[in-house]
Amino acid sequence: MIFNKRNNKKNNAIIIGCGRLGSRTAGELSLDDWDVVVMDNNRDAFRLLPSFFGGSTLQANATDIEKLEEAGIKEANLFIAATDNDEINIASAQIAKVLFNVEKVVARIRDQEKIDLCEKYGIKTICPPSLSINEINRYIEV
Amino acid sequence: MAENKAYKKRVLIIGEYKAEKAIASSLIKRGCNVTVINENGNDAERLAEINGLNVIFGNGSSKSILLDANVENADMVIAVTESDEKNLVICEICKNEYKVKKTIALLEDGEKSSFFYKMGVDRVISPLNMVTTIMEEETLRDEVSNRLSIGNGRMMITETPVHKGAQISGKKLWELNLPREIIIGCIMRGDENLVPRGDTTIRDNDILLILSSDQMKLDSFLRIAEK
Repeated sequence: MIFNKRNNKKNNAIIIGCGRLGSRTAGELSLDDWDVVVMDNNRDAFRLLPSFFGGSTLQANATDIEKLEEAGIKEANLFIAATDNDEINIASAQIAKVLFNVEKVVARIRDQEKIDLCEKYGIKTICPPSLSINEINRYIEV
Repeated sequence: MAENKAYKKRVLIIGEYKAEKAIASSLIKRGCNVTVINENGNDAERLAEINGLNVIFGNGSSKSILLDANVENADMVIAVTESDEKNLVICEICKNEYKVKKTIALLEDGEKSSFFYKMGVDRVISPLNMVTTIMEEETLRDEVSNRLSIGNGRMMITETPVHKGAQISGKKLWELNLPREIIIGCIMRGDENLVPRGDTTIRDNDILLILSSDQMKLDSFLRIAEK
């Protein structure tokens, strides 16, 4: 279990981008009793979701505020921006944090230079190249 | 700004060929120092043919490219790429990181405009919203007057014709007792454009350009003028 479930509180998650990261995270969270809505603007992307995924899907643009409301962003306490586009991840994560005050917002940002645009607002970022570099360094040092 | 030869306003434009070309050409004519960033190699070469335009080839949301384009010294950044999100990110970087005074973003989805302002973009331009406003104004106004709002609707420039035999025709401006909120800025008579004074007489078929800051007073004046 990657994410710790908190007791007596509804756990609503919105994941945008149903690629490898988005779909797998959605699967894990739904196993962990989260209510998950996955958004992607490509319907075919939802095929990547594992068979045990128990949440819902919404075909929409990730920065469409109306659609995010439809996905329940007002009640969400976790928002994960995992599309393949840095700008879309930043913009939607900022919408979640700044406009809707979602408690935990995570964005995948490939370009390290853009990380401070997120951290400034308290958005957690994941930078895959940086993670890989850390791993490589750790491996070399052993 | 155009008159001030000593200081050239530095403008940086990031976007697609067509928009960049149109904006850059017009700003260069107005005496600005313009740099564009374009992601497409062919388009960047075509842009380089424009006289006096600096062209940088690369991704405009990347800091190294922005620095190449001398963003730190830009007075204004205009983001007109096809992606709303990219325009937002570019403006945020320029504003937060490089303290650019004025950032302008093109926004296709007008619904997000208040979000863009909230994130610190100075001016959000949404073509769809503008077209809607124009259409609304066209439908609400009768065919005869043309109205333009500036300063978020605080000021209006109205163009209205003087019909034959209208009440105001044949009167001098001072005789009209115009309220303070209304100024007749220009009278277009045939090919002539007159800047009127108090003793200028309004004639049939004149077209009046009216500046006003009060919609109610303007409307009541127009009712008289159009009769």
